Amino acid sequence: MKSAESAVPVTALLHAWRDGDPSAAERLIPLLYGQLRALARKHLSRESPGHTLPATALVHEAYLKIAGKDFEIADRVHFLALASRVMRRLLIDHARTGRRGKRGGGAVKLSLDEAVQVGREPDEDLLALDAALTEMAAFDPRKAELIETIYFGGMTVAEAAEAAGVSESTAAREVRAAKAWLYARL
Amino acid sequence: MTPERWRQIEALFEEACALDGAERDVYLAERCGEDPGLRQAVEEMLAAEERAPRVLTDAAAALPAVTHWFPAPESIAAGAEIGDWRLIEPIGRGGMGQVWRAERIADFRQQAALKIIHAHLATPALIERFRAERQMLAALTHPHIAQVLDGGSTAEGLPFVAMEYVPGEPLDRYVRGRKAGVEERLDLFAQVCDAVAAAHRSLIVHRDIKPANILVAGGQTKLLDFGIAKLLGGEPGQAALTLPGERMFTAEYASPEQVCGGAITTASDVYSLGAVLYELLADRRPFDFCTASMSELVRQVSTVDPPPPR
Repeated sequence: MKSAESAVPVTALLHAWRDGDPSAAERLIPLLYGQLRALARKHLSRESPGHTLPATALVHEAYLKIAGKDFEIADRVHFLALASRVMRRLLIDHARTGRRGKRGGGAVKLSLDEAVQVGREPDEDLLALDAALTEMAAFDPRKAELIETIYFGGMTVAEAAEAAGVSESTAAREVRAAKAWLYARL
Repeated sequence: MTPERWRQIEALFEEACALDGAERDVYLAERCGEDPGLRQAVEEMLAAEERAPRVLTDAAAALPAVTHWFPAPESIAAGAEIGDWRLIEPIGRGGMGQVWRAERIADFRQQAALKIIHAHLATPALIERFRAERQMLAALTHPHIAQVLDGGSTAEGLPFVAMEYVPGEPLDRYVRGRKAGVEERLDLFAQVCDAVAAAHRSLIVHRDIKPANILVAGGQTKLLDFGIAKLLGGEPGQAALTLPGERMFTAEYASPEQVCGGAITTASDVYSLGAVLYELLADRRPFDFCTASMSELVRQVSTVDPPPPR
């Protein structure tokens, strides 16, 4: 997909979604899903060994690729918020597939900030986080969205705040409470 | 949970965050008097925040990078033989690679923690540097430093390091679990200082000193991963070998020059030792990074004095 072709419809869809039209998201999400997966494949292909990106960087790259130049700055955070949701879904789909196909055993854990920790499979952590976020969305959708955009979309607190329509200090406070709840839950 | 209940918990959590130990207890007792469930929920969150790493900038730290989508080579599995070692069980995985407990094929009594570097990090330059550094690290012998035993590469050419296997517990967990007194904590800390001093005399900088890298077994500490951060972190002025967004240090213990990307010296280790000592004595970390932004992290570490422990 070339950005020149997609920029206009994506912008229009994004505006429609921001203005509360859920069908716009339904059209945007498959587009983003395909794009993000294609980017992941490209980066991990043999043409570029040693070059790879974390999930959040893919979200930003997808933005650059899809958005094109005529994207308004204000659209950026909304795009990234939506792309974060898609990245979450993509990672979860992948984790589910991985779990089905995986060899048994293995006391290996996704490490948070440590190089090494012992525990569960990374996929299990990811699925647990996904479930906890879904639970949180039921009683505090905004905090769940803040976490989603920061963790899966690599947005800064300031960007996440803008996408959610709150001040940065409010977002920082809310992220702290949301993280504590998630950690207590996981 | 209902939104109303959550608002209540959240408000108390925020207030309690601003208070210290005894004040916090009084406050919570006052506000939750008739509602033990409420207090428990808030306390669980406070405890979770204590345990959790305070900085989680993005999914690079919190979630698998996309490299994780591609499984490790099949050759890395229990029972596989790599160099002189046979893999027993995986004991960890991080951004850099996997860690396995292994035993020497010719000698079942010698165990090692084998660190195997991710394929995507194994560039020719890294492999070369690995070889050179490994020699130096192998010469670093100290009772409180986990010894580098061996190194080489797997059949696919992935570099690995075999380090002394230490069946211990991380320092912070160890002292909390034992409710160790100040004297015992200081004694453990002095052992760590000895180890760091010995390495510094050989001009080897650790670069990532933190409780998780200090294991304790039977009252004896072992500092892990000496120089590993440097092996993987890239030289100044050279592109780091880590993924974007993945840092080679742990924010809570990192010195200002580390968070700002300056030159790392033995003084950086001394700073990290200070942060570890603070945590040992105060039972909390010097800084509380609830922000997710790198620039805020840089600002705090570089310009703000940690609050004095009480």
